[in-house]
Amino acid sequence: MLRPIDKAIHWLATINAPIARWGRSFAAVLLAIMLAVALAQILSRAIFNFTLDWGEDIARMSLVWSVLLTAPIGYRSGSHVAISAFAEALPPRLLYWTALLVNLLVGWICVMLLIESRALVMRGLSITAATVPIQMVWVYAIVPVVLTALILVALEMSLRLARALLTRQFDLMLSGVVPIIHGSAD
Amino acid sequence: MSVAFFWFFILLLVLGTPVVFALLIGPGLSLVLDGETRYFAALLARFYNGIDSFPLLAVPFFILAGELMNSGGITAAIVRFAQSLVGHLRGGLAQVNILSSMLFAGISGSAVADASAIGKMMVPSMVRAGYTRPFAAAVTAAAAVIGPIIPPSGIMVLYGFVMNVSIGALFAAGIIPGVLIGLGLMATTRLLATRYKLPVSLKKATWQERGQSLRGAYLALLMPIVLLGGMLSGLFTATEAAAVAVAYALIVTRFVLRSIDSIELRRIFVATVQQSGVILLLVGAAVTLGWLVTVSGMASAIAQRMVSLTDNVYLLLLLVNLLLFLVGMFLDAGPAILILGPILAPIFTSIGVHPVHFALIMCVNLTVGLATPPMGLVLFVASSVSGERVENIVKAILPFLAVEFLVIMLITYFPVLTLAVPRLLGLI
Repeated sequence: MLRPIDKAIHWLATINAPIARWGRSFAAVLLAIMLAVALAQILSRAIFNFTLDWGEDIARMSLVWSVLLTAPIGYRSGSHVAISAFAEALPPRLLYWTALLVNLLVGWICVMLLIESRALVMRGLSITAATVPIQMVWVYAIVPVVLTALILVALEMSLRLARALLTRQFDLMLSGVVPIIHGSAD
Repeated sequence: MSVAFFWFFILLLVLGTPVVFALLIGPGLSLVLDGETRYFAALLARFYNGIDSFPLLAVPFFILAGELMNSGGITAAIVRFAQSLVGHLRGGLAQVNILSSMLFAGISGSAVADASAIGKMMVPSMVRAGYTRPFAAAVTAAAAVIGPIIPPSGIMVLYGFVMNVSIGALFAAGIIPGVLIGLGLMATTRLLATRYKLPVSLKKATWQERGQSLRGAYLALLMPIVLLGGMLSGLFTATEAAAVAVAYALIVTRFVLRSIDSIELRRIFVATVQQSGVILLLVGAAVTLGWLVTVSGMASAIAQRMVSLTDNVYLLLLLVNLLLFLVGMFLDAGPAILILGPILAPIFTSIGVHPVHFALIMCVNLTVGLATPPMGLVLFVASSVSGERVENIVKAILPFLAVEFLVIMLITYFPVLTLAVPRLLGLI
């Protein structure tokens, strides 16, 4: 029973860890782009009396991508804000059952939104950004990508919690009801 | 659409679900229960649109500016300047801690950054000078609350964005409350210093020494002036001001002080995106909640219920302050503003409270909540940097919290304290 769970956890961690790290690094690059664009806008307006129309579109696209790209690592490292006082007061077994339920619910909502994201992406095929010749499908495409990454993280979390419940080894480090997993793949 | 989403949300919150997911799962479960799954598309669209906004760029930019200034050694220069001004008083190091927090607040827009930066420097010095560790940690936590009240302020950017209130006006409105809290904390420290015979640790600095310490800190102290000046002169918007703050911090730390190398710079950018990502995902989710609160008729139902309790504005303001204080004990200021803002603000503006005035009541009250048990984020940071148990810090912080609550009451019942500066500057 445990062997397939361990294999699945290892497989998911091998995928999730680098995706989370790369996502964050790419988001940092996008932050630099946002900064450059915002400063270019001010300088262009103040010095050349010329407004960079495309600046706002590029900055907004970068912002959306950078925020969504940090979602998997935020979830996996337990960085998202939660009220943990009640959860911490629960006995370990009940806490782990609660955590399992919550992480499965996280996976469920991501699946529901992933299904809806198809329509969003398809709509992007017929829309072009207002000031730059970029089809919005490229911008919207990040939504299903990140939701898929979140589903994989939710699955990894749920399996880790299920394993703990099966083995009665309640030694995962939790942030509220989310296991905290640092960069490693195991 | 039923209001079941709200109860699911509260249940998930209590169970320890990350707020961002609780904000999405609660409505999701409610839609399934109501058989209205077609609204999932709207849920996703609201979430996406909640993030897709130019003014929100200010959030990562202000975090980045604060991280740069802190890592670049600016904190030490600010503390030295504060020492030269008030270090010679009885309880002087506690006064230095508070004054440093006030000055640092002009650079950072975050109480956590304040507590971490000032606490790491001041708590060990205070303990060495004979202060008890709980007292040193309590002063740090209480003073750090000023961070998001004196501009720039991360939570005011969030409030301004979600509630469509001028961020410039909110920044200006935060000046007097921030200074009042700082002065109140300093006065309390003065009283406690005499009562508990707190040590006098430093000799009085000469004007020459003060000048020297000012030369070390002036680049940091200029930052809020540059930001407010630029915004007021119309040179840049509040969002662009945040970008200017980053550019300024980059130039000072990388090229003037040369205190940050490229490896450290990379670390700061990565840390910033992770911090701001957590906040902005919450913004997206909170926008969906705000939408649901409106379309389900919940906002108007709560409004009618509150107004039916009493039509006395002063009493309603007292009640809302107690509610906010209670919420602040359990929830971080940012999420609390994002969740409660869309529900409470329309009620109070409809009964004649100025939007900027109510914004400040919410922001200041919930920021003070960061230093209240059992879930005070700033208390945890103070505990971490001081190595003192949270429960011991809680006992020591009570007199300071009393002062902060008094300031909340003052700004609640004297709107001039929040509205005077924005009016003077023509922002409202």
